[in-house]
Amino acid sequence: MTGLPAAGRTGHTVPDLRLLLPAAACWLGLLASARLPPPAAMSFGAAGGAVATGLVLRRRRPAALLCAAALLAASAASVVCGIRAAARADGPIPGLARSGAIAEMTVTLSGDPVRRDGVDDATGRRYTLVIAAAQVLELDSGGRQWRLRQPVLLLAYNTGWLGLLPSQHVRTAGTLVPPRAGDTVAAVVRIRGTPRLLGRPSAVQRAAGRLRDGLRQAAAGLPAGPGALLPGLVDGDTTGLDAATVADFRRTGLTHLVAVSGTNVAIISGAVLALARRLRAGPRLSGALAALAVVGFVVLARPSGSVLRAAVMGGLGLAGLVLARPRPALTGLCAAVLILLLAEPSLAVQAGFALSVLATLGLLVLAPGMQRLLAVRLPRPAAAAIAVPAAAQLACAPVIAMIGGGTSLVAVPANLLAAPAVAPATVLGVLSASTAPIAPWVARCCAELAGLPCAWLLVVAHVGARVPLANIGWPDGLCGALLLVGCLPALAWAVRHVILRR
Amino acid sequence: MPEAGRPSPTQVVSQPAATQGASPPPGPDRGQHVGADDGPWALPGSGWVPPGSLGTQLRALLGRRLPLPLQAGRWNPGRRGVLAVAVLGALGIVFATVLFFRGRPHPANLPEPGPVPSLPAISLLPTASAPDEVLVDVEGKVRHPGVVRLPRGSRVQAALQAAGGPQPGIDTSALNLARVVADGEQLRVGLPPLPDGAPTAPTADASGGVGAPVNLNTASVADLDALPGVGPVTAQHILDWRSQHGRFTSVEQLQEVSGIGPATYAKLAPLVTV
Repeated sequence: MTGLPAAGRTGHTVPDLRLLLPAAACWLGLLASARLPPPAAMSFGAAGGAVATGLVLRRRRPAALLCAAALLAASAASVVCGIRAAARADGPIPGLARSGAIAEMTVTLSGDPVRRDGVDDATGRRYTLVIAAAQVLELDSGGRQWRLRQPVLLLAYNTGWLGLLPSQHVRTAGTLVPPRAGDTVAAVVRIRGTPRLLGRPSAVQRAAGRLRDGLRQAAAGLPAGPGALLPGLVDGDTTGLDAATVADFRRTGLTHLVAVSGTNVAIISGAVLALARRLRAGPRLSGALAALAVVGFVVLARPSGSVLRAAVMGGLGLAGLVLARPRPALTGLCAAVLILLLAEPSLAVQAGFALSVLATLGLLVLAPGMQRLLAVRLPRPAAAAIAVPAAAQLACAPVIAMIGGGTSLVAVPANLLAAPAVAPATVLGVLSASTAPIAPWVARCCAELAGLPCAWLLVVAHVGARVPLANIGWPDGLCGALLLVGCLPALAWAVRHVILRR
Repeated sequence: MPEAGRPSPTQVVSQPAATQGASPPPGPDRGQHVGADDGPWALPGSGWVPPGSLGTQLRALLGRRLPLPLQAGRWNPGRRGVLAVAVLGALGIVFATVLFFRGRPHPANLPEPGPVPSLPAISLLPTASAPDEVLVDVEGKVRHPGVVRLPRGSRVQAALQAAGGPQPGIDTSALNLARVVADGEQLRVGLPPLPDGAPTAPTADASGGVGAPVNLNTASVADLDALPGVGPVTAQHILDWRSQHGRFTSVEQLQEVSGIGPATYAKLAPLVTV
């Protein structure tokens, strides 16, 4: 995804693991305090912070410092989690949600409304549900009014909500319902009516919306399959993909391609950097250009967990480039995890964020060893080509199993075959999106060219999903994940001693 | 990570030690070995290794089985690292606190919807207005919805003002504020137009046929039953809701009554009051 760590290139021969434990502790701290009442979370955090400070002041041993750093990260996470939970519990929303009250409210959308089609278990009737994350700005219930800014989840049984852009202000009314335990919203709002729009989305979001529309239109000229895949590949817009294709991608472990992964951020910033170098731009200018491209891409592809992970990591890498103080990728990953989790604690329970972090970690930590192991029997390029998807897949497997994705046995060969097509399709797709408002003709040409790698990806997914035993079922939930983690040492042993006969 | 051709694992493991011996990295936190008691991660065969301790054995057992970067890595954050984590944590806490205070709910900037401004208009509701006055029903997103009494010839603007003015953020561009209001008219502020094209302007029937809105808090089953879309069962549900919750404080609460869907509610809302 981000390529193998450039340890040798940047002059760090010793892998930098200093932030690894603090980042992991921060994550665990968030998970542990997610369901605690806010005062408990904050007190635990304060106590942990005090112990850590004591450790730093009294002990100088490396182990004490490492423990202190990890404890500090976990404590800060706990306090942040407590404050966020207190913010959600503040005000009238929780009480209104408990009584199932109707409220009229002004909200601003914080993400794209997503469509879910389903069948009602009880009645057997089909329904279409539109889910959107939003922030309540004004609330009006039972004759009382409040101004506030709290996150809610909107569930609208009305397709009028589809296609609204983030930052759009909407006036609506619905029934407030308490969220599930561990959810990071103040309430869930069930809505029947159409949204009444107030004003327009922000200029930036309108521009991003135009680019997404432009890409969708440019891709519409392609055959149905690649035409639907291209927007998903470039900006995660999977509205056109049919369920069977999505299922194929899931079975073959290629889902990360259609749910924008960090790969795209790496490809785009890399392409901009290479172009800037070619044009003889200085490190500052090329860094700034690449940063601009990354920020633009985050708006275009929406700030999901994996995009944010890649963007912050890329931003740290670019800062190192500009300041001529490069840091190893692993340091960047750990710092990005710490920054993002403390700024947005809800990422801790997002599967996309976890998968992105784990895949990157796998590339940085597992891939070098795997490559060396494989190089015993294989030529070096082949070993590297296999080690990359294998390491990423291995690192992600427990979380994929946990969220009910089973365990894909064809993921490694499928990713290996897909890899050459991803970069051209993404770059051409981004070119197509960015030229669409200016020169629709160029956009269509780029889309046509991108259609070829897209068609190849579809073939890989389609054929891979039909291989016998492509995806073996696996128990989901935490037990499934732990079971898989338990199986990994056995797998490692088998690879080492049976396949490689060493 | 080694750059050399194709090193065997043992070569790789010993490489960082050699590097460190040749040119120790500057700074106070140079230890890439964390010491014997600090866990199984330190370098086998490098740095300070007390022979035969439990740590050594653990390291010997686990160290070689961990992925290479973990075996050879530098774990000690040093004081600077601890400080960096502390700063990040503090920033996260400050950010969360700022969000907390920014998002804090506070009652919107209006007098509590007490009975004083709105009740007289409703309680004085006569069946016919004085000749030099008009009665206008201002509904929807105004501060004090209800029937207001205005001098004949008043404009829509004056009717809105009499109802407390539009709520903050409400777009009134759909209304012609300069239009002269007619007796018996209903002004819908910030509400979607009625689905079945129900009259909001005073047509011939508005003065006589519709009659006064039914007060949800005083209505009987028979009163409610007379409303369109409400049968005796739903009427009873409305009364049940009222006895459960004490009273209706807003017409919108009608949606919480079982049996009243969006369509029924849209029909009822203009015909009832609280």
